[in-house]
Amino acid sequence: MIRTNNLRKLYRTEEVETTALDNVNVEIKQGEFVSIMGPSGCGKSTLMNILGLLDNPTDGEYFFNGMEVSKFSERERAKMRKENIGFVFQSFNLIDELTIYENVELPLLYMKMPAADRKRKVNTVLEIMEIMHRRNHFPQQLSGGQQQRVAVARAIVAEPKIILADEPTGNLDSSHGDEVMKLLTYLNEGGTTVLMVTHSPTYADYGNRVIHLFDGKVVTENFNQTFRV
Amino acid sequence: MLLSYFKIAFRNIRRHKGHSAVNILGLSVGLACVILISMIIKNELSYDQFHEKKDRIFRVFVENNQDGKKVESAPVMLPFAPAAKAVIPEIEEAVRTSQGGVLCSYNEKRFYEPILYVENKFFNLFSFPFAKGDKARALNNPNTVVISQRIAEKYFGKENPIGKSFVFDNKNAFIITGVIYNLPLTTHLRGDIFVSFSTLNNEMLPRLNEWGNFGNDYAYLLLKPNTNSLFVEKKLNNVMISNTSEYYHDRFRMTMQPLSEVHFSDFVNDDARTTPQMILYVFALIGLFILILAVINFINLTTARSSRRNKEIGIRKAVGASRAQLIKQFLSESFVITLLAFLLAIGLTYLLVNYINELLRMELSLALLISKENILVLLIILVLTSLMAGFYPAFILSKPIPSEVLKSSSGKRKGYKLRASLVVFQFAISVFLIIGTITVFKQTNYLMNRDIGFPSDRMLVVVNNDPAISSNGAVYKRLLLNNENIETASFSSGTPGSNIASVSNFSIEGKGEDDELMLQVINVDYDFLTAYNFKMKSGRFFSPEFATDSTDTYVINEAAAKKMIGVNPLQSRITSGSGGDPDSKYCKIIGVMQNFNYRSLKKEIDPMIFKLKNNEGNFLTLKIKQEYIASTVDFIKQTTAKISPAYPFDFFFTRERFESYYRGETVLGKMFLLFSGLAIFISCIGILGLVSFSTEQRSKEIGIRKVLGASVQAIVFMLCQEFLKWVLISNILIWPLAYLLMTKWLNSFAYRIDFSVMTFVLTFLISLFVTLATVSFHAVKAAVANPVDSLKYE
Repeated sequence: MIRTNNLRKLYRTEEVETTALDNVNVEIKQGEFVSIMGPSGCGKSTLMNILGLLDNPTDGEYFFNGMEVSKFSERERAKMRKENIGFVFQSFNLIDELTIYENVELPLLYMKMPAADRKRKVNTVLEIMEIMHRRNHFPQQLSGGQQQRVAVARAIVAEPKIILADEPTGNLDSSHGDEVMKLLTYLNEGGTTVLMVTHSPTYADYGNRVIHLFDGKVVTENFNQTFRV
Repeated sequence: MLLSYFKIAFRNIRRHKGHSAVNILGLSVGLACVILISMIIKNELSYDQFHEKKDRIFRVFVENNQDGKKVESAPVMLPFAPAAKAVIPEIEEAVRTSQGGVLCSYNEKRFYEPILYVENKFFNLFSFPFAKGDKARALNNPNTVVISQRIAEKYFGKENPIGKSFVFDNKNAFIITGVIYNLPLTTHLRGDIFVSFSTLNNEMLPRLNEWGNFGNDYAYLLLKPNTNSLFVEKKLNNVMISNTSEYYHDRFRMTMQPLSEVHFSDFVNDDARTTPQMILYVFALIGLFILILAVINFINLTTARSSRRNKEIGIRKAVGASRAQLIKQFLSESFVITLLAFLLAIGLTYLLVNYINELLRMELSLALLISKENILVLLIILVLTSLMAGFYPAFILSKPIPSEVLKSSSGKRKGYKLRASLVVFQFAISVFLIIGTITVFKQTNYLMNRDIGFPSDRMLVVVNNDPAISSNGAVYKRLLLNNENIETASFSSGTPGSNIASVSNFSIEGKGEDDELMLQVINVDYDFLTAYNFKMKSGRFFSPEFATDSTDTYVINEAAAKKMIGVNPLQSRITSGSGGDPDSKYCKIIGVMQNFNYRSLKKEIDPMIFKLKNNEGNFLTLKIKQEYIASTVDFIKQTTAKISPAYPFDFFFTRERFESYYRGETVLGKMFLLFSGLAIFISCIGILGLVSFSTEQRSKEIGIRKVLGASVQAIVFMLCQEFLKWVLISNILIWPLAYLLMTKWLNSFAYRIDFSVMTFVLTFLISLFVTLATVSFHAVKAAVANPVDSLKYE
């Protein structure tokens, strides 16, 4: 589903050039649950941004569903994102001015889905995430765990092919973190590909495979022997 | 989707109340200015538009070419209109009017009223509907009058005035043959008593059949349908040429203007209600500038705060928003804010409209806005303002790459250069308006206080409408001079500030038509010179020692002497008229008097000629002591009543009359003051918003500096210096343009101030002070804040 060839990302200021990614080659198959680990500043988030089509690489190739997308314009990337990718962020990234219902509905609005279809889909995911009863509340009125459940609901409402989760448990306590991991596992078992960045080895084990990054390079890839139920 | 955008817009406004209030207030002031100025301009443009035949009505005027200068003059010689109609078939009607004033009486009611003598076809041209009487025949006969409902009510109350008579000047009866509905304010005509032109005869008005004399007389032409007006205009001059001597051919050119332009003329000796067209352009520009200021505020404040919305923008892009969708969202938000500002602007307009009406003597009202056309214009203003204000922020806010804006530490100060440019532009507009205000006030002050050649603040002029006063002139003067507060008394046919224009041509003995002079004629008595403290430049003034002074002599002023090229005035004799007549009487010029301003200081001094008519004249000038003015006026009133019991006492102070000439400039100064105040207010709102945001953004930096030892003053200076830099740059940038434009305006005055450096210095100091005062509140607040609060999470 996802394949990169010698991916490079450079950040340049007037005086300094930083290599965030250096010849990264990764491959992620449909239905996999892959974790990316590494110390702070190793390029995890940069890799996620590129794989999530939130940014373009400086060099290299990126194939998404067989299409080379590394040179896509922002418009083309937006279209691809909208149709294929769901995001879950560490800091939830809900829009404070929108209610829970409206936050989850947002991707469908941008896809110009008719109102009746939107309503049906949003209600379905809100039920799945067990936050239907808070649909008219605003994000600041919810706990961290609840907010993350809303973020997951938003990520899956458009039925994306892949979910990119950037440290989804980073701002949560362990019980809420476990909850979110169970959700992601559940989605993966349903056929959704999951790509997750994490600092936690425990949570990394939820996936099939762990990719280790260091200083912008892939250093190891492990396959998990442990499976969670 | 649109509904969703509006919902978000309202929620954002509620959430960021301070920022929203600043934006809405600034925009509303800008919009209120635009609405008010649109109303003013619309009012001015509507002058004379209510006449059905307006597109076919033209007013004749004269271009005077003298000494290489072209002067446009409204009065037209009285024989012109009938002569033009007789030979130009394209003219359907030619109508003459003559402005005058009378003592109007009915029973015990007596008032001085302006009147307009008009020909019987007047109401065929101009659409003044009749409430009573027959429009076609109302002014066919001499001594008939048509009045407005206002006049009817003033004199007759609820009675029907038709068939009743006014008495004019306690002499002649005039029958009221018609009552018209009240004239709208938007007419260039003055007065609402219309007297039949056929009343006038040669005895009353010698210039009735004279081609060389001008008074307060005007000519209007109604052209036949589908006539090319340029074609008719070319023929007008031929009418003058074929009826006058060669003297006139080079000096005068007869031409005409459409009725719609009369209100915007800037002619000499024009009784019409006029507004210089330049004023409208100035107002329109000011309105536009102020709106631009408000829009710049919106753009600056919105883009400055763009980092606050980065997260939201990143999320929206991450979940699939295209740039176009984001632009639509931000434009919708801009529309909501503009709409709220617009509603507030309507309220502000309502509050300001009475002040504007009083200042400009108009009858503007919000009710006038309620018409299909006006509502459409308002909607266009609303949409355009919202687009102007919202487009750039929408463009900027929707641009960033999602990965950049989703980073939590995205605190870059983007768009700084553009914001700085916009603030400089904003300040520049305010600075320009301040310079304009100072200049207009200084020039007006100069006009009002300039030495006009005599002590105007001590001159009281009694308007003499009663012939009995002239026949008892000597007695009247003696009675008045018994009062120790009255120093001098002098009769004349016109005085400075009297607005009496009587211009004739004079020829010099032994010289040809090329040397003929057009001179303002004033009859004076022996005391005229001393009454006004005038000096003779050469020769002598009229004196009782010389018996022939009243019949065989003239005195002229310096301006007239200057026109007598190659001739010594004191060795010359002149006569009125062209001099070709063998019976012309040439009179000696015995003296040249100093120049003085007879009319507004906006015009050059007229060449003048004085003839002696002792102890008679329409005006009696009294030089009075400045103490006890009220009791002195009372004394004059009682004394006048003894001599002239049948006429109400009528007078004016020369100083006040001259001040009234500059009413236009005074109003302009007040409007400049109002709008520059508003511009400064809007700019201050903008600075307040920017500085509050800037100090918030730099709170970490301020905290670190304080920990490292920076004083409060150093912090305040650091925060202020950016704004001070902008003030300095904007001043320097706008000074040349302001200098050019203000100099151009000042050059339209015959007497004007010099543009001084102090104007720029004062402007700079004002703009600096206002900016510092606005910025310092937030700067000091930020400087004294506890650094621990801003560095807590670092």
